[in-house]
Amino acid sequence: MFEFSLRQVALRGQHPGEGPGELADPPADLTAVVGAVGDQFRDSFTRLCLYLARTHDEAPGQRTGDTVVIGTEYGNTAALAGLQRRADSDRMLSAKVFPNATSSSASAFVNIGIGATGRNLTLNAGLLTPVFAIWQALLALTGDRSATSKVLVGDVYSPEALLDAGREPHGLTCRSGLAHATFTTGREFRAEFDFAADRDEDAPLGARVDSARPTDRNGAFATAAFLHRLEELEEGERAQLTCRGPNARRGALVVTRQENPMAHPGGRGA
Amino acid sequence: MRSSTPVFVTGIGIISPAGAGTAAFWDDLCAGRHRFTELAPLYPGMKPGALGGRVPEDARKLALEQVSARTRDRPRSASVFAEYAALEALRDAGLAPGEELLRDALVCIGTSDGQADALEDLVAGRRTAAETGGFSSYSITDDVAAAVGSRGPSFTTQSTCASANVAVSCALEMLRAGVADTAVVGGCDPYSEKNIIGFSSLQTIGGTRCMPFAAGRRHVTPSEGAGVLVLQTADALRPGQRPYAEIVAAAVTNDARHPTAPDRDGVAACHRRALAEAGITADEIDVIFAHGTGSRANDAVEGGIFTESYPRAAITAIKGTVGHLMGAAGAAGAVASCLTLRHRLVPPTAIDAAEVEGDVNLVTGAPRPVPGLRHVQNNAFGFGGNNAICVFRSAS
Repeated sequence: MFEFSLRQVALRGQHPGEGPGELADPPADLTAVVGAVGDQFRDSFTRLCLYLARTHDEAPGQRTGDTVVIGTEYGNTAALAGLQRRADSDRMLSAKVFPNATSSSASAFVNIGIGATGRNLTLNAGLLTPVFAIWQALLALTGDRSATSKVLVGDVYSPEALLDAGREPHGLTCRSGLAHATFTTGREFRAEFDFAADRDEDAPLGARVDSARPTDRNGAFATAAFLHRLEELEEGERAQLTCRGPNARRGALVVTRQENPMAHPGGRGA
Repeated sequence: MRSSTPVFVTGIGIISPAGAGTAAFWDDLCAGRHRFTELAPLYPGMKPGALGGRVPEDARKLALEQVSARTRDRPRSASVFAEYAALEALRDAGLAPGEELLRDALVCIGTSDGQADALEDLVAGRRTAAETGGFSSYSITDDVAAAVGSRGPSFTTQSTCASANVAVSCALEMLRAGVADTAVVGGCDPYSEKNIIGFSSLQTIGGTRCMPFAAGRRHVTPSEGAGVLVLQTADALRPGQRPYAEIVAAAVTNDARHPTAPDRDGVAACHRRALAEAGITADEIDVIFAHGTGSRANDAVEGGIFTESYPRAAITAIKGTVGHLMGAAGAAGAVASCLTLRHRLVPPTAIDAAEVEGDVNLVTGAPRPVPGLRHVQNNAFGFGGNNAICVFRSAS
């Protein structure tokens, strides 16, 4: 059981029906926020992670002990594939390519970009990624580790990622998108997790908020919907995020609002 | 949230350039014997003669015989290595795949290059996505979970060369939180063309073998393999079971300074956090398995910290013997840490004593006995400012 407060939630992603792959409509201020230096080396996943981490939260004026958790199935695959292709044709491969083409490059550049020196990791739990990413983000708030924990969940699908996901589609759509949330120490919410194996063999795979049927493979959309739902909860109300994967894997997160600072003078916003 | 439940290492397994199994690994470490070979140039600008460490063909064949039928039918190196190491660790812990203690076990594998052969074949047009079996890094953990018979929580961590220690940290926290009472955790990385190309572009690999903490050190020697630990909470131990060690800390921090270069302050901060988590002082650390890549920058940062803060600890670096297992480097160090605690013996760094730079208390030559050994620290750092340090305590 974890207690926490939720400072912000944001989502950037493709609209339903949009062709799979890169966002057709990236944020208009993307370049203004993340700059253009190194764009020939970094991929859209890194750029969007950095954009969300810098835009939808207070920009820290100095280095912090913040935690950063990135939950993703395919992460920086586009940059990894790009390095391999570039090496075929480029005799003098730039030393700037490789740092942008590791499996955790997005994490590296987000940490540098916001000066976060706390716990950080990139994790992949397949269709259960949202629940594990949130668990790790909330864990960081316990003890004296971090007062703020940022989580990014999602994928920007490269052509290779789409091919890979297409092997086992699970009836889910591949829509690119990333959710970003900032958790802080506090008592607004109580989170309870359950990772017991699934007893419902017929349940649809994917991430669902309360009883909504999963549609997207990318956990960003369910994560953002769930966290936005939390913002609307009244005291005592709760919401559930359930992620199901093959082989009876299941992760469920039930969050109850314990306090509503907006309803009590002296709380949040006062 | 955190409990004080002690968590123990009860089984270890490894496959590396030393061969398949902990016996071959320990033999090579204690002898300071390396088996590096020249890597074929992979792109027009790559110089010939760069050294690397590959898992020997006989060890790979042995591993293939033991892994699941699913992996044997469509072998991806990361899954082959990780499954082999996991199954060896289970046997070592006295467990059998699928038995009750493992059904809800946590499985967490750290990797940097993941299913590199699958992705690289897809990109190069050598195989289709279906033929590769997939390259999602999660498939490695999923394969290990299937091999050990777990339907419990499972996920992959990716923090470049700190990946395995980050996996251990995640597992330790989940065990302490009561999510599971048994975990199969470690790291793996296969030979990756992309990785070799990347290191070549940085001019960090070449014809000089890895010589950690030597004044004349020059190159990193990339290698491959996997290491896996079985972790059990005190409640899950069986009567008479003899753990290798208790894990008392697994600290994770980030430098947040530079994409590739280590930051002395950031690395030192991770050391302080590890000691704080363990509840001990630097003077209580007896042995440190350094990250020790043999690069100018890494060894200068680590060596400075060791000299300044850990003057009495015996330092050793195994990458001069088995090479740099990348995302599995921390796992190899963890297995070596456990064997050191078991044998009360610190394997040497494969350089001559006269070559040691500065005042680092480096073990060279013969293995060094440490009779009263209590705490062993295992460092793993990576590109992107990733730092992760585990501390093991004697379980006896």
